[in-house]
Amino acid sequence: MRDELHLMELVDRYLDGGMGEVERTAFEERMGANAELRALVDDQRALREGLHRVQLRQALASAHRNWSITRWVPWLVAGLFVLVAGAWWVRLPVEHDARPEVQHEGTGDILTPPETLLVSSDTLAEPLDLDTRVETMFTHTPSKAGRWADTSRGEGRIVTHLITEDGGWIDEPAPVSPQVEHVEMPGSVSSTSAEFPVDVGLHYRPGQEISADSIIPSDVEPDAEKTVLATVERFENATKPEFPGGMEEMQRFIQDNLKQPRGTKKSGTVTVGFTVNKKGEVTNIEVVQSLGRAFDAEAVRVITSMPQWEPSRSGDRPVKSKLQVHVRFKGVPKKRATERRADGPMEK
Amino acid sequence: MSDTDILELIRQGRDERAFAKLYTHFPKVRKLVRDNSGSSDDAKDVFQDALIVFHRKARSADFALTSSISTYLFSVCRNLWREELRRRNKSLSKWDVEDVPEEPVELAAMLAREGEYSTAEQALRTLGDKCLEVLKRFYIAKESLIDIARSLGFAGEGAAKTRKYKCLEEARKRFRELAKHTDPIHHQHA
Repeated sequence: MRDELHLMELVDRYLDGGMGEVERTAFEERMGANAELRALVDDQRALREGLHRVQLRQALASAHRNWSITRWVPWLVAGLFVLVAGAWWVRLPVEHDARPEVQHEGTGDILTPPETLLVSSDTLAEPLDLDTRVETMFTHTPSKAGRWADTSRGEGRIVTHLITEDGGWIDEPAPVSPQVEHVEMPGSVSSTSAEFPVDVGLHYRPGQEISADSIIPSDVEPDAEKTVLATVERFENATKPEFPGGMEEMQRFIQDNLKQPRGTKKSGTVTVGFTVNKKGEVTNIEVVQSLGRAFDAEAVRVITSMPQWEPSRSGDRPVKSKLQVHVRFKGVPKKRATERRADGPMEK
Repeated sequence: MSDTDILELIRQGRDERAFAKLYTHFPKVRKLVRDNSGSSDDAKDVFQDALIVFHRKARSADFALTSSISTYLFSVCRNLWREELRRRNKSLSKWDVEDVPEEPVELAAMLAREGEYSTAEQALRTLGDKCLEVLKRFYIAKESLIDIARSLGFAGEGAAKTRKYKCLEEARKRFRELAKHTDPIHHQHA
């Protein structure tokens, strides 16, 4: 066995490129004359590459999972909510206990999403400079985060794609915005119990405010049949913004006003995000998850036509808050379309 | 993120990040495969094999990107899928005509070799966990035998060396065995 061991080491050295010119030439001559040795080298090379393949599988599986996870678990969407800063930098504590629930229609089961994903605005202490390398340093707890490193001369928005891992670690943050070369977020924004890719939108303005203005799961296709969602952003200890008459009233409002776009048949959900400002007006309406232009337009139309809300209040001060609503289209009924309805946000 | 950045990630060993970036090219491949009698799973397999091929290329010191990564991956996928369809006695019907890149000459040979590596991978997977761990640490992480002995609880360097030898021998045996039985078209030597 000693000889064989030695031979194997020789092959290792050859494949590692660790041989000098002379030794290598001699070894190759030996290989040329000895089919068995040649086969050994070939096999060992194949096995090394095989090992690489084994090794890469993990990273590949994870990449694939991240790519498709949002298709599998659309209800995770409900685990996300965000706090938005006021006009000036305010150190905001993070709210932990407002976990939205997802109702599984039909069975009545209540699925509890993983721990709420949070990015508090105190992750963003200072404006940043797009011309220089941008670094965000999040600390390891969601409630206490770091700050942007540089100062800014402009106003804008950065979207960063990142993957939150088990335990709230951020993996591989990568800026989506073209101007930014590099965003480091070695810390944590989440405490989800599963890996979850999200896009974090960060708004900055020199000397004024900088806030996490959106956190959305990447490429999510919410399952129209299963999800009811409310994404709420507000100050801690602030009251909920309220639709006149309450959330049920809002659901009814949507239900009554929503029309199936002409010429369409399919059912599905458009997720619309909007801000209820201090005056209670519905502003910043945007389609978070599209179902196609006609559906988006109709969903936005209905949300736009909502009456004024009672704004969220922190103490006696009105503050703005952010919500997401799933607007569900029933589709053109075949059999049992009566059970379906437009859903508004659901809160405890 | 540019192609160069992705290459750099791979060279730094940040595979997960690199793959996450490269996955943006998946939908196109998925469409190709699904338009040509394949399933989403087929598409995933093909795409991941292509990523592995790309990863190997990117690792090699003399690799220079002659086309875009997207073109490269797509070309590899198309070839892999055509090969697979041939195995299933079907043919590639639809072609993405607008983006048929020039086929790298060495591609066919490379894919044949890849089949061999894939067989090696399968053989390695049948090994025990400990064996696989020893081999991975030695050949991929390039850990020293002493370190391996320490972290895996072998008596010493000599024991680790023997273990590594035996594991590699066993892997080779299984690889030979498997290679005998695998599809000659798919896994022929270049």
